[in-house]
Amino acid sequence: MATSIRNTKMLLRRAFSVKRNETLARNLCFTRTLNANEDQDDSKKVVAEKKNKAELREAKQKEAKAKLNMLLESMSKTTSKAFPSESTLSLATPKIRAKPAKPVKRTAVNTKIEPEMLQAVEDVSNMLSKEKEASKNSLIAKLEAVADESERARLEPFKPNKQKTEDLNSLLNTLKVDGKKPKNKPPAPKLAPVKVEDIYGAQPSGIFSKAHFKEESSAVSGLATWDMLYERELELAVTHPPANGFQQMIRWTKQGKVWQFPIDNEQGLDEEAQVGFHEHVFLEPHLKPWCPRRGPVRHFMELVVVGLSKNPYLTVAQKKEHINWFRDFFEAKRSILIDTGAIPDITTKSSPSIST
Amino acid sequence: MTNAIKLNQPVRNNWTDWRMMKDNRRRKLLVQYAPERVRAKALKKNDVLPPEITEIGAKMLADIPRDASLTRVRNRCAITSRPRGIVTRWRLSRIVWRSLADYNKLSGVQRAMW
Repeated sequence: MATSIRNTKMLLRRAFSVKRNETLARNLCFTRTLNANEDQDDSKKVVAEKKNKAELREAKQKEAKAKLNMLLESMSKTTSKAFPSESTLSLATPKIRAKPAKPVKRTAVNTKIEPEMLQAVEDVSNMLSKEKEASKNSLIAKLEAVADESERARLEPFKPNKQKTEDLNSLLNTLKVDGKKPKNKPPAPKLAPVKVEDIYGAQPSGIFSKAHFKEESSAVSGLATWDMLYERELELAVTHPPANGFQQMIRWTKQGKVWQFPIDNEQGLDEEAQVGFHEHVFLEPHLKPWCPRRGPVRHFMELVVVGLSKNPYLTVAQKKEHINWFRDFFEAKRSILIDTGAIPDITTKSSPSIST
Repeated sequence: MTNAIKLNQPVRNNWTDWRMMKDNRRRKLLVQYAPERVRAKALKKNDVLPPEITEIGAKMLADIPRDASLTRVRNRCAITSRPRGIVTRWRLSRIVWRSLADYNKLSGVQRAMW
């Protein structure tokens, strides 16, 4: 790590030095060219002077080139500076511990055959034959061959081998089935297949006329909450409750549950609107068939009717039902009413005569 | 806004408290026995019919369960179940009403200033 850092530092320094050399070389070149240009721009001098100058220039150029070469060579020299391979610093080194001896690996690790199979092969060869190694190897070779074939077959698409199928078929045909089944029952009598044209043409056979079919015993689960929750789950699966307020409002608008503007207090009460006020107010015809014309009962019922006629909250049906209830009540308490004298007794009532 | 406090726990009901639940039960009974009650009361409270009938009416009225009485119903706050300080039109307690009004959730409700 330290050496690497140092190496990089050295590299950087080298780079800078190279750069400096390069800049130096560049400056030299530029100055040369600039000077040359200046000389050309000046007024024409004597040819001899020019010649001398040219010679001088050439010499200088050569010098510069030589210098450049030198610098380049020095660069290469600096790059080939030898550094010690090992660091001169005395750093902490780990203790060299004797590694534990590794167990000798098996040379033949069979990936095709499972280790259990290998073990079995080993046991068999040890038990059976004298030439253990040879038998083991032959068995392994056979297993490997089988594994290879199965792999190939697995990878390739199945093509039925005609020869093999023929062999199999012949084999199966030659196989004899052992008749080991106990023949307790004689074979059922075979009926000839019946051709039926009209299914409902014949008379009913009456086989099931005396049959007593048990009712399907639906076992009471006893888990009422679970059943209820299950049904709820089913409903939720089928229906789609609204996911947000917008969907809810859309749904309600479609169902007509939302108030329409301008607000009408009787929105939704269309059937009631069709019923005329006369049915609400004039309820005396409902008393006519049963109520006596005079007496406390009539008095009471008149009060009831007046109250109902002023009631805007009940429907006509409800009002009728109210009156009918009283009719039934008074019918039930008829004896009491007669005893008290509320209702005139019809049976004892004699025909009106002039004498009385 | 619901009055269900415990939303993620197993609960027996989603009423704010048992008093609210009982009040709701009373309201249901009230609706159920309303016609019977009216008729029995009419039979009882009149001096037109003979007293025998009136007694029968009184008996009928007594047979109706007590929770079906209107006087037993209490207008509680729909959210907190507060029995007092209810703003009737919104069926809310004054505290809840105020908080909702401040957050502009009540239509047409504004801070009074005159």
